[in-house]
Amino acid sequence: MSFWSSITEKMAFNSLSEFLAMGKHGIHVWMSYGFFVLCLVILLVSLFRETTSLEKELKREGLLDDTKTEK
Amino acid sequence: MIPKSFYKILSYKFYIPFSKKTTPWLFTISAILLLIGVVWGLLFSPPDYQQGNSFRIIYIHVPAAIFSTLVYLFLALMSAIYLIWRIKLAAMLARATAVLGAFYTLITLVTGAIWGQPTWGTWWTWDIRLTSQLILFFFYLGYIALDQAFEDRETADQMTSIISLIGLIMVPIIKFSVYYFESIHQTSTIFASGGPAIPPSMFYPLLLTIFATFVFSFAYVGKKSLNLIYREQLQRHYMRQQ
Repeated sequence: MSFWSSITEKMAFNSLSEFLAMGKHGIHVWMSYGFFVLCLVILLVSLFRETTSLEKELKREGLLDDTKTEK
Repeated sequence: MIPKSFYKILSYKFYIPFSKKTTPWLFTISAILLLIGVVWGLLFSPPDYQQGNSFRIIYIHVPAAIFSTLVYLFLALMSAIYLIWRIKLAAMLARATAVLGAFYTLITLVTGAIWGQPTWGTWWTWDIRLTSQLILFFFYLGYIALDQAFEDRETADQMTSIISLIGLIMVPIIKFSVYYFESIHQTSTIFASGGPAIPPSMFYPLLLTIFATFVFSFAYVGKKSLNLIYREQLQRHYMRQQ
């Protein structure tokens, strides 16, 4: 309890609703972070999907030598 | 003049396993740094006395802006190395950075616009800093389009390398526009004369997110270039079969 309250004391907000409201800038802050997260997800999903499909194709063509490249 | 071990590092044979081993760690480290930085910045940093809580957007805007230009510098450097020494890995690394840099630039523009609305009273203005950043975005898009426009790999690498060197002019314009021209955008906070013009409680989380972006860039480019090498290997394989 005292540990948790020592953390919450240092926070800039007193409640969750205050945190979500961000003063009068809730829309701006969350729109920015939302856009950032969206970009990150698009970047990473396309990157990892590309790797998976390429490795599958390489394996099918017998070009990916697992014994050599891994471990 | 160049030691032999240096050439070894530049070869695919060494690069592929190296990249495979390091990128998962880099992704993990950058995720941890980003998470700490964002939680600290959103929850524990005090609100700005002028801007209120909208200043919290800097924890993504500033790293994205810094690396939109640094990634471009890297892209241009790799293109120059390719044009001068014909090192294939350099062209590969240059191509691997383009999409990442375009995303950084887009994030910079969008978060900047969202921050500008309450702070400057406008989403967008044709200010030199903002406009030069937009032109950098178009250079990234041009690079990506050109990269895909040519069927012959060498022609494409040649053209994209030249375009990226032309676009290099934008980097100093973006950096120094706020000092030498009348700009609505403030000058650098971190590299202000007399040290960072920002209190530590706001600055440390910013340093964390900047460092997270730095590590993430290496992770992304490491993995993306591996994909490009795979693609090339497949293409060569199909060519041989024909």
